[in-house]
Amino acid sequence: MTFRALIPVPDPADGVETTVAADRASRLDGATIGIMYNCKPNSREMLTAIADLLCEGYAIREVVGPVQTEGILLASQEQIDDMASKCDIVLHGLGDCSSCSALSTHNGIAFERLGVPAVVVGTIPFEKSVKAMATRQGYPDFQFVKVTHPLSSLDADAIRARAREALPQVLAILGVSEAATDELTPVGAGRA
Amino acid sequence: MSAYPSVETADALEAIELFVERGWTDGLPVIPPTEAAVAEFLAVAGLDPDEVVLNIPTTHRRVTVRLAAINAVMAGCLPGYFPVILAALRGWADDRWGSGDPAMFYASNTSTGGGGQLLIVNGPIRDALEINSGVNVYGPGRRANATIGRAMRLIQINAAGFVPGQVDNASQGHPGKYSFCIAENEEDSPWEPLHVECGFGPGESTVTTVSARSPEPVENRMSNTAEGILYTIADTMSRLGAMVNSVGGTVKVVVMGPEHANTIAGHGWTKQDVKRFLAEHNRRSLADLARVGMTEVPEEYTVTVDGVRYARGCRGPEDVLLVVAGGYNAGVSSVITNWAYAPPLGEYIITPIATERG
Repeated sequence: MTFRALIPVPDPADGVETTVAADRASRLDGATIGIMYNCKPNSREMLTAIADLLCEGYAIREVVGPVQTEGILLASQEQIDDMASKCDIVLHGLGDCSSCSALSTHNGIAFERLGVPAVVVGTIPFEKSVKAMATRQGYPDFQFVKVTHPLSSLDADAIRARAREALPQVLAILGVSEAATDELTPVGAGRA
Repeated sequence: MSAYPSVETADALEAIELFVERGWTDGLPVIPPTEAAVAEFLAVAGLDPDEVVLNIPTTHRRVTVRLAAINAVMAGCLPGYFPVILAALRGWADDRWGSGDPAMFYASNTSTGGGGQLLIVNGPIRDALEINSGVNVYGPGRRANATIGRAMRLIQINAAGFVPGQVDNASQGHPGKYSFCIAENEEDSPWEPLHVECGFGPGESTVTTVSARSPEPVENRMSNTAEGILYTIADTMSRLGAMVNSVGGTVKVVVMGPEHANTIAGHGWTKQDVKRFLAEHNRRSLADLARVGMTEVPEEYTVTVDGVRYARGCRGPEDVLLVVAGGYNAGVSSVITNWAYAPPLGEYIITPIATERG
């Protein structure tokens, strides 16, 4: 005699369609960079600081934006389509909270689906939020730029310092160079 | 139904442990959902078990009637509670949630801000199901409140995928995230209940859903004036930790104790008078806000009173969602601030509860 109970969760694969990462170019020279930011404080500033560093180091053709997401945290599909049509790569964020990390990932993967590599910037404590959303978007190995938490409360100098901290990861995600991603100060990396 | 995925164990106790092991729990042991028990809930619903009652496009999650029933059994509900749960799920599916932004339902359940999901039940179903509206209204002690609220949380975790520590990364959360279901104490209220205020008949039953932080007590056993009590409530609505997230206005729930409500009404105040007063006095000076780091407040969200500039916390009286609940035994009320972005002004997410008895 056995006892039988119904499973209270749906099939983990239900509703998930595999997303294929966008192809990466081996160099940034000549690339057009898009900046799409959300409502989080310092979002625009952090992404612009990263774009400035890329412009200093490479022969970037043009920077499009910054453009803010039409939704509170999600971009509209029209915005995604428009920026994807104009840019070779897109910088997006911020994810320094749980929902904004996940929804930045949602936006980033939408760009990847259209063949545009996306660099999503977030902070270390939200790795699980990003992973969970990426899995639901069919791209479980999606990588984001993990910088030290927090970002939203920093002043301009500190934001520029975070941008420099982020640069090796930005380049690695874009496939331009191999960069170590495990040398970060584990602030906020507490046990969940 | 027999083909629906299941697990086998030696007995029910082993199933309880298995469910914990698999993470299919809020942390407390659950009632293992047998096919027979779930069938009773489905019979009460009278719907296609595969009907989707809540769709979350952000993560491609769909909550079906069957998944809701399974989790309601696990929470310890009686079958008769299921119509309340289904109505609340339809409230969660309302596209006005969070100003109509399609991501806001997801965000309100995963945010570091830690909103829970409050249910407020009105109408005759309160008596039929013995849903508490009196002493200890937030609990513990009553099966209906405890298990209906718990069912909603289990549905969130199991069916909707808002798994704590994985998807739901609230910095602190709050105890209402285990269970958060109250009823309005219509009998001890001097005013029209929430559902009547919203255009439903007194004989209809409804459930109102709000993305809600924890209740904050407002105790004033001294004042015998409407203004004295209402200033105390407005002060709690206007505390800095709430205002920095609600400048410009969003819905705030005021759960007024019957003693406060009847004292105020005894001075001739209507429900709308109270809402107007609280909306007007839900404000904080720009100087106070600047002191804690909020240095920019859009001009349209400010008001000047006696030469002092304030940020407003309400768009209008409609942002005060006022219900009467709790025991008629002390000058105690509470304020529940909202996590989510505001629905259109004057609209609450209130859903009729479908029962055979109407």
